Amino acid sequence: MAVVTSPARHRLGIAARTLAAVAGGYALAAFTTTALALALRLPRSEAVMVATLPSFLLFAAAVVWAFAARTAWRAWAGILAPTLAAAGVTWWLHGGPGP
Amino acid sequence: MKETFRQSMSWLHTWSGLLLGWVLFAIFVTGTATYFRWEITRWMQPEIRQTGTPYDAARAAWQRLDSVAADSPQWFVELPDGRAAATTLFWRHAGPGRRFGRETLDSATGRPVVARDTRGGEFFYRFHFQLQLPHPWGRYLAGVAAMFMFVALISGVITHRKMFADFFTFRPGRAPLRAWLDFHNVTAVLALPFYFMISYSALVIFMTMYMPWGGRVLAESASSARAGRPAPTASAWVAPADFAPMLATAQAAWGDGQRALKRIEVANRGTDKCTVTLTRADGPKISLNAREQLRFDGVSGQLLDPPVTAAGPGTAVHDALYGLHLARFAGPALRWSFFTMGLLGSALVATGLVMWTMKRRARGGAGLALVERLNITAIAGLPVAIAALFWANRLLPVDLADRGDWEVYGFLCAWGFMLMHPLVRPVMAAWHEQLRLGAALFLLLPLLDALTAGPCLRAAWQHRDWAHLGFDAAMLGCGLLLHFAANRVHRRLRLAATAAAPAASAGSTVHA
Repeated sequence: MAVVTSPARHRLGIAARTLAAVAGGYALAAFTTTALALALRLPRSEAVMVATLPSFLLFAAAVVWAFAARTAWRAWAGILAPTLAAAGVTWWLHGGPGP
Repeated sequence: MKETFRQSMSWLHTWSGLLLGWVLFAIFVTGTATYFRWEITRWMQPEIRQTGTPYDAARAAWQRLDSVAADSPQWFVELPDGRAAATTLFWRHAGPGRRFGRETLDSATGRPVVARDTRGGEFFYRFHFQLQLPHPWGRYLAGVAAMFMFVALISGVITHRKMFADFFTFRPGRAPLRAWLDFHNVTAVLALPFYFMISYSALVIFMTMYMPWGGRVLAESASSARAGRPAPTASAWVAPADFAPMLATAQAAWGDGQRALKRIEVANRGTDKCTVTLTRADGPKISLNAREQLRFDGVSGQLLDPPVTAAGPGTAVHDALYGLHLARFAGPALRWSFFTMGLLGSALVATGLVMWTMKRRARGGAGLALVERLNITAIAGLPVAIAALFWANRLLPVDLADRGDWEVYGFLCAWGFMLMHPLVRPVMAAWHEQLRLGAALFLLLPLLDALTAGPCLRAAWQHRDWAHLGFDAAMLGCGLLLHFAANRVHRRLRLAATAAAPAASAGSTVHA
């Protein structure tokens, strides 16, 4: 946030970033997990392990990004774009547009 | 956010550390105590003394289960080893539903133990990740706290990238905030890899709860496999095989030493699918799945081939993290180092919480008043509550019904009082009084032990039972630690009082 923003705008910015960090970060971690699990083509339990283990690292990285980005808009965009990509890959691999 | 990356990370560190700091402190303290879970149980049930080998205990347990749980489909037995003294039996009741029976056996007589009812070290273990909350909310809260800690660690390291250089800077004589910051940094650097390991592995342990989605999208194959398994039918009871030969096989393979038989599990009793699994005591391997096991066909009594597990690298990493968190592989020296790092972690959280209030004291406000009081309850009040649990263990009548639950009520009531107390007392006075109370309760605990469990203490001395004696020594250590902390607060109080005296304002409250 720039130095000259009003307190209300400042609080709104923090709320938006917090939402991006918590909800957006979790969604990013969750969809990346599903996309990886489906893409890996490993035995089931191993695929789940390899896909889930790094998810919390990704979540934490998203939280850091949400508060480090220059504006709240950038914070949201930086989390939403890869989340949508991962969701798309999940949808595609999980059945996709039909047989 | 703020102007620079490091400033925004400093902000993130402050708030992610504060919001669940109190929960995190309680999780850290009880988790640290859990490293000595079995030793705590030994002290809380001083009547139980281990005699004989685990194989004697196994025979006694089998006999007992044969008489109390003959029609049960599933048996579990935990045998005594160098650390746990009692034999614990669990069995699933016959019929629908998941109801279990539980009994503690005296390993010498094979009869239900005549000892006080207590949760023992199990209380700390459960509290560490369930926080006395209804299932599954405690586990979710603990997971959120672990995630906050992980974020606070990352942002803390980024904020303070010179922390390794500053490690050698300690300025106790300088302004109080500087000294606190230095101490916060020292506790952070000393065990930083431990904190990263412990917070990430905490998330990994319950990752199927916190991040179940990978399993969900791949669930089809599993559910189809389950459908292929025949449903258990209420057919005639198939008599299980004789246990003695299986026990002899285990004894021949593992011997009577430190790492003997530890666990027995009998599954599908009464069916032709019955299996008996014998597990050896934990060795120096980190992964919990590296346990040595012998599996027998429960009907023919024949030794089965070990199950083929296609453990890939993902499973290996998961098992290693899981094993590292529980540190069952650790011998006494390593266990004490984990314990020390746990204490450092508790100090890290506590100093962080106190620093938040120190920076904001000049400004005041409702938020500050709330945080200051919660800090007192969480940091100084928790030791009082833990001491109350131990006092209740020694003072409640031995034959009280649901005695173990009453011990926990004692813990919760004491903590509740510590929550009220700062509401009616000035902040620094409340700190001082709670620390002093905790110190007194811990320092007097060995005396109480001698007065109420004298014969057990004498027997512990005769048998060189270090679990019991070491516990009393550790309580003295905790008491001294709290005593020194109380002294420091007391000095600040007196300084503030002499400084405020010339001002002579009537009814002035010390807010130093």
